[in-house]
Amino acid sequence: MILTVTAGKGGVGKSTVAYNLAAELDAVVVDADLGMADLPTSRGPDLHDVLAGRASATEAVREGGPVKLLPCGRSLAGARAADSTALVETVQRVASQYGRVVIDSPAGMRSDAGIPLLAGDACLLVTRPTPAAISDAIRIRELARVIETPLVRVALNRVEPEKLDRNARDERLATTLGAPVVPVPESPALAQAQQSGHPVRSVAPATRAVTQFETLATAVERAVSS
Amino acid sequence: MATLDWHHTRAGGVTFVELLITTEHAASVRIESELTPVWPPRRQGVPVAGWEGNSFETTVAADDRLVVGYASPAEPDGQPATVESQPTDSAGSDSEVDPQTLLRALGEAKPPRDLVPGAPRTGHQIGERAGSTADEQYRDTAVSPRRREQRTAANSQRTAGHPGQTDDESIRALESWFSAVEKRLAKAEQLASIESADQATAELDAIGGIGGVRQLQARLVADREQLARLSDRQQQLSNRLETVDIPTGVLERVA
Repeated sequence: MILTVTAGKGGVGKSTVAYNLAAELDAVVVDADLGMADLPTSRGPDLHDVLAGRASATEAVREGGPVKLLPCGRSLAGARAADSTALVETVQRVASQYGRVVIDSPAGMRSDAGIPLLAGDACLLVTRPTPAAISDAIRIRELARVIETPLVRVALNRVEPEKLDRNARDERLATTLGAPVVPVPESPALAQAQQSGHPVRSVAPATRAVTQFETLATAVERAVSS
Repeated sequence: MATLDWHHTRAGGVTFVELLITTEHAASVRIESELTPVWPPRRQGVPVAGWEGNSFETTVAADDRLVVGYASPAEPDGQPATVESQPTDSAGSDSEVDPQTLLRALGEAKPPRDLVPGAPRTGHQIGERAGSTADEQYRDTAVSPRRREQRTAANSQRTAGHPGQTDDESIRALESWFSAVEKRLAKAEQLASIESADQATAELDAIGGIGGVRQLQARLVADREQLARLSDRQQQLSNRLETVDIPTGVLERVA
């Protein structure tokens, strides 16, 4: 099962959602942002090396952390040398070895955002309750439609906690984007957990953020057979 | 039946080929270049859809004509290409999405070559690039002369052989590769120490079957060759380092 977490706009919390969803699904999270990687890396081969043919996909997976991770390099030279078209095959190899993969896709509408969508069996769209974020979400939704990658859920991220249960807003957005909306609250615990490289469940298990990620994971599991 | 008209010119050691193909009925055509290697036209850095090695495949509608251009370093010798055609019911029907198609349609997102430390320059400065925008020009003119001097000085310091990012990145890439080789070797040693059929079955499952074993073997062969090349180069560099002696005293007197 390969799930692509996409957004269109940058800075909406895509990596946070991808990381926590991977934790809920016991999946490998692949940091596919070749130019501006977000998820933590460590010594050893990374996605740049895999896409440049210097290492195999499974060699680059880190199994020791709280979430299994295929990190991405940070250098411009690495991003330049990487063949982004090899991402589909790379992710398929990781999926055949580990079963479940969550791709943290880059922002934007260029091929580096399109190819992860092509690699996914389904996608999950992260957006924020702002006009700029939603208009970019509509664009990337259209791209997913053209590529024929089904949209499983929309994660409406960093919603003010007192505005979390607004069904009318979620239904409007669901009609616009064509998939049910799951709001994820603004949460200091979530931000701190992400900064320290942990899923929020291991830091603050009894929070609303955790139940929302659970809801998202269950929806993904139901929609995409592993 | 397709008919082929051709024309080629040669300039600067490169042959530019232009082909004109016409068909009476809708047909799928395959063009095979006699000149090799072929430098096909590219979009966003990848060959235009239809090019595969020295051949190009596409469809031509009835009463339409197809113009194909490409280049090759080879000297022309008569007709530069051959064409085969097969009738089709309707031309231009396939539209399967693959990564290359997406790359062509959406554009490459790699950092420009000029920004990558240590990469060969493209032969023109950033301000002269075809894609350079008015913003870049305004940004340049908005910089005060003093700031520009500071920047120029910093740039020249960086390019004057300061052991900066380029070396770090090369070493990092090398370390990544060494780590990958270590992992492959560990896997190979694990396979070499198999003692029972159960263990063999488990290891085969873990590596992805006999295909995975063959892939590992092929990679180890490539690793061995690469290490041999590195070893030769290291030896050559060590020898040169032993013998090189900069005449600093003489240069100081001249400077």
